[in-house]
Amino acid sequence: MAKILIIDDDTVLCSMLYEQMLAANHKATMAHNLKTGLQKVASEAFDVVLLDVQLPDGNGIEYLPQFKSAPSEPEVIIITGQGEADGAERAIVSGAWSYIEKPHVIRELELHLIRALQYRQEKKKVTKVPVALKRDKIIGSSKVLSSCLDQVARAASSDVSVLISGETGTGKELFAKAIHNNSNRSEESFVIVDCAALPETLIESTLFGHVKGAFTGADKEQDGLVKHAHQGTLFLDEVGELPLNIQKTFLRLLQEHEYRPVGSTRHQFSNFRLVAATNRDLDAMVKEGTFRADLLFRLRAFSIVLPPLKDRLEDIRELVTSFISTICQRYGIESKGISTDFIETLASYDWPGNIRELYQTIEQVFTSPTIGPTCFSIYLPKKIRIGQLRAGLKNHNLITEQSQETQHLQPWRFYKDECERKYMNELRSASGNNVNQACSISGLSRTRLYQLINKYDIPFN
Amino acid sequence: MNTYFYSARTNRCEENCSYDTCPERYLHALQYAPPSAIHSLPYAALLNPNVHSPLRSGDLVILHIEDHFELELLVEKRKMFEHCRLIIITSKDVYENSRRYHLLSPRFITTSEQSPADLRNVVYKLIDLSTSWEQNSYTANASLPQL
Repeated sequence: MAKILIIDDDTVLCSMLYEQMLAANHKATMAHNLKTGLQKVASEAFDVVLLDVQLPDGNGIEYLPQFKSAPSEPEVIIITGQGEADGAERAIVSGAWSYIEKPHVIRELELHLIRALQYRQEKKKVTKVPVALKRDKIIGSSKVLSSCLDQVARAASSDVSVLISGETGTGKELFAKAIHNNSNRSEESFVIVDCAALPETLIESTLFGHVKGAFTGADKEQDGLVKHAHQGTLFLDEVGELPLNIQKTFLRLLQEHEYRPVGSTRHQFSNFRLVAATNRDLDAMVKEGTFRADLLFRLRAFSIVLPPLKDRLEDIRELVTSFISTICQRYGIESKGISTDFIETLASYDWPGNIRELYQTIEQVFTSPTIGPTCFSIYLPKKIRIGQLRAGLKNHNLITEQSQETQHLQPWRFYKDECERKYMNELRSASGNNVNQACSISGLSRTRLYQLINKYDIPFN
Repeated sequence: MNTYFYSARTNRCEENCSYDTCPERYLHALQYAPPSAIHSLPYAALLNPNVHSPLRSGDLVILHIEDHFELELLVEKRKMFEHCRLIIITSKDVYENSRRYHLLSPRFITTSEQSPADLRNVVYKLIDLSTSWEQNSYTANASLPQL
């Protein structure tokens, strides 16, 4: 038995759906506007909310996120008078389970409800990601990083191919290793193939190996890295640099897990798990014809996008502390104090080279012979200190502009009423004063149209 | 970025040295690698606890590993290579009978039976990649640290 909340201003339809829910042995509650609906979902637990779009006090889709974020996190099924492709898309993007048109709702609702409730049941059974994730040198506790680590845990629990995207220096290799170390392949090899470093003439034999005599200089048979990765993980770094002819061979390898060493006539088998990384826009490369769409599809069975450092500046302090400890230990340097302005300056820079650039900067500062017992921002490169000054000036200008703009901004409900009134006047002209035409043009239900006509006192026939 | 060549051997070549598998052969092949000079680290320098590593983040290190014993020495010290990019030259025996060199996360592995020209081409490519990244980087003007 599930608990269903029905929110619709059409009282007849509401009652019919209520009876249908009771007949299906569910417990149902009705509301006829958004305000009552939101109050009910905040105070009681519901499994599913049936939400109309055109309500007297607003558009249901706009309030969908609020319903989804209620304590019981209900699934939301949108029901609406007239189907629109854009409305359906907005509903799904906003997190709706599904979207049903009113003329068909009585007939179709049962199937949508069964699926939503089954999903909800199974969701409760899924175990949380393991707390003790091996994350080694992945440092930080920001929300965005935690989200990426959740994805690492999910990726590690299966064997699907993973594509890790991110700017240079964001830690793609570290994340790939974390996936491997947390998987059931952690005892086997983690094999790196640097596609950017290998000349095109070497890629095939490096990956697949070769037999004796396969080419000039091939005096003996040699295994490739694909064989080395058997039972383990194969990490393709900068996968966007793979030449097209190798992409074709690699696609077959992913599909069949079979390959032929260069010069050989016999196929060999390798059971590896693939993790690929790139800092390039592979979708754009597919459009240009420099990367195969079918290979991208295969690689992207699971996708992780790593944030640039500028999107997780709250991790800077933790990163800097960790780097300082590592560097002092490695180079036998005495530990030093860090002044507040040192961290502030680091946190105001854009870091185009991301975490790698941050590490190198700290390394440069701490291995400099001129540094005193405390690190001040003056020890940092001029480029970073200038960045901080510029950021400060920019913020100051932004605050000045915003305070000027907000003085001219009216309250939201006045603005909304103005827009609705303007729209209704235009609708009256476009429909020739005809209610049926107006419903057809606007997609509004008759009930809603009459509400707006009365609200703004617009004469219609 | 600096480029280093390193071998774990404690002595220079003995009388029965075989040039085909000698680290000097690869060092000689790489000495013609512009634009960045290859700096040869003293033998076993990185294993000396009294000497702090000259390696810096982003450095390219070409490791010559002759046998399983040398491999284990370097695997034990792998933390020092953490922020560097490694290329490994190893014997056929180590390549075929061990997989432990993957713990060093090398960007390229070659054997003593492969042509040094392959090694040279990969080194050129990696140096080119680093140079283009460092165009606007703070570390572009870093001087060679002293041992």
